[in-house]
Amino acid sequence: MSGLSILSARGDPANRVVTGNEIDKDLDLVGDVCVIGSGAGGAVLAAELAQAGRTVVMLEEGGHHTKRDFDMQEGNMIPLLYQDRGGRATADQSCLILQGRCIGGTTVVNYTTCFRTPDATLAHWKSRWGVEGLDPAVLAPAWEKVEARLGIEAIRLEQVNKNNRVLWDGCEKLGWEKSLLSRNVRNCRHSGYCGMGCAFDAKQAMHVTYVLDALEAGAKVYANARVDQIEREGNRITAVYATILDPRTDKPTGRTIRVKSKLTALCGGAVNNPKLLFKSKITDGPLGKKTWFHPLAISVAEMPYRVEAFYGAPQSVASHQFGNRGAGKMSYFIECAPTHPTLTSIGAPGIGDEHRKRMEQLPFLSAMYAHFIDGFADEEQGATVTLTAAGNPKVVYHYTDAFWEAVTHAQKNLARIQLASGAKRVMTLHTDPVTIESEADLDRIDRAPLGPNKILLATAHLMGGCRMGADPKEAVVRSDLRHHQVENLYIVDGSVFPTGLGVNPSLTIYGLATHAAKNIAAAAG
Amino acid sequence: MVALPAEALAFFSPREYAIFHAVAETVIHTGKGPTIDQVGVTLRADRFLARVDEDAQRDFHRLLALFDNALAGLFLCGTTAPFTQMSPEARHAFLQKWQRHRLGVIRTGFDALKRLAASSYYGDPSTHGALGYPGPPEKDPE
Repeated sequence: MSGLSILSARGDPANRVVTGNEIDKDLDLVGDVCVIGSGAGGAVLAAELAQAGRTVVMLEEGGHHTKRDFDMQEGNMIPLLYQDRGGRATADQSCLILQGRCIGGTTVVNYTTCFRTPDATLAHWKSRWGVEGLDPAVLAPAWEKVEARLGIEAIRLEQVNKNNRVLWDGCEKLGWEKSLLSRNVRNCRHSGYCGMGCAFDAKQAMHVTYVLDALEAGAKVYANARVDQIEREGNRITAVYATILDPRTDKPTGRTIRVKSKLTALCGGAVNNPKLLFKSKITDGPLGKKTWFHPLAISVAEMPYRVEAFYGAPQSVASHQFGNRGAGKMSYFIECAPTHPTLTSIGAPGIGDEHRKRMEQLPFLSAMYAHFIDGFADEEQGATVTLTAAGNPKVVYHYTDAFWEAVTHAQKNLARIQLASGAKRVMTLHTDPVTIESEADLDRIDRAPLGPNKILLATAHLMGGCRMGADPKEAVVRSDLRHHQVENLYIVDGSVFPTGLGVNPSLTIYGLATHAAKNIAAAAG
Repeated sequence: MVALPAEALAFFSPREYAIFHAVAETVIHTGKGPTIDQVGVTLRADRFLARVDEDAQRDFHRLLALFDNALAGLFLCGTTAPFTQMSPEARHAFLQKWQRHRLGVIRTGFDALKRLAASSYYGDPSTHGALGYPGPPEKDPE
């Protein structure tokens, strides 16, 4: 190691994200808190801590990209902004994993849907996992603060695009529950390109909000800084080691950063947190187990008009009609998906002529999916994250009979919504897709073969694997998000959720980070 | 043997390039859109794979070797020729057997091949017009 960088004074207006190409010597940094990851958890935590007067170093393995870089082309943006260049999936490829990898993390590429954590989910965490202090009334001030900072408010019905209108109108005709979604946007252009980085800075993603707040309050933020090891001595973290990556090639430049801090906060998400802890041999508790996906299954409708589901806010309507199916059944909630060509081509069934025929229907297609709410049955294992010999994460999802039952149940109800909204025909994404033109066809879904790689599944909601709870044998962190065994290590992101949420997770992560920051700031004082 | 691109390959061997090119020809029917060679699908896949992690790279090398191995084809699908030497119709049938195979690991291989071929083609904006996809709006002037 050579060189010693002293943290700048707080409030430096010139403070900005430092990228890997700018680092021409090894850096030895000190601070109160080292934050690993810059997504929904890390960015909010870093800003809150810096504003509370703590010196913060934030390390992000992905690059720093802004609206100047966002060209709204999937072929360029997916490799640039997503984990594994967009190729992240379970080991058997049965479930695609969509997760951001850049300054701002998944918030740069998500669809902006914001829900507060359902009361029932918080109550379950308390009764089953012994989570204390996360009652709705306690969390309310944190959510109010985040909602004000990120401009979170409900979309108006007249702003809903044709794709989401299929869900709204279908539920209306069926008499099913539906709601207009709250989104973290300001002056949204409704371009439809949320998943490729907002080229208009309308989306209030972390790189244009809390990361800037953190910088303004003096935090030092490094992009292209991949943390490879957290050094532990006894029950304390003594240092964090990062490898600097070349922004153009993503290969190590040979430069490193070492951070020595009072506290370390791990905010890399449900796949990367276990990966780093396993690599660092910090394997206490049920690390990497019971990781939750809200795995989703898709239904595609051919409408008699141009839906252009690639334009407009990608998600603006949800239905929680089947959000509580009762004990023994897996519940689910329903939302919509945009249909840009690349992701559509991955999901479209068949090969050759069959595949092409479906692709040429693109402007007429409406797509919606069911998110299955995993984690509420004790026998469920969800996904398990382990480490390969080469040090990469290996993710295996353990599908249950209850899951497959719910898939069939949901495919029928998605089709009902689409038919009620006037679909000419509906298609599932089984290997041999089931085509439905009327209620009488729905029974065919019962006969479609199910299993891994027999139907398209995906996740954009990574949760669990470092869950919080009272019992160190059953949980990795305590209710205040401090590691059970390592006293100066905190985990602050969706990986601490004991279950899936039952709603999109971003606002829960923002709120939890805001809430936890008070205690973490005090511990770092 | 398919012609290699002028640019140096970053991941595929020449044989692997030919195998994946044959896969892409079978997966992607281009309609009125540009051909897979006009898009440079196999080279795009080569560039993508050159930057994934070493586990994924090792698995993809193994997958391509298995896919074009005549003995494996006989054992897994009852075919006798390597994939690259099959007729277009036989290639289509062979890929469909992989897609519906009773062994999960073979279906996994199919998914990996199809997704890479499809995303390498449809990730190129030159393919979008033929789909009726107008593309993104103009960005604001800086």
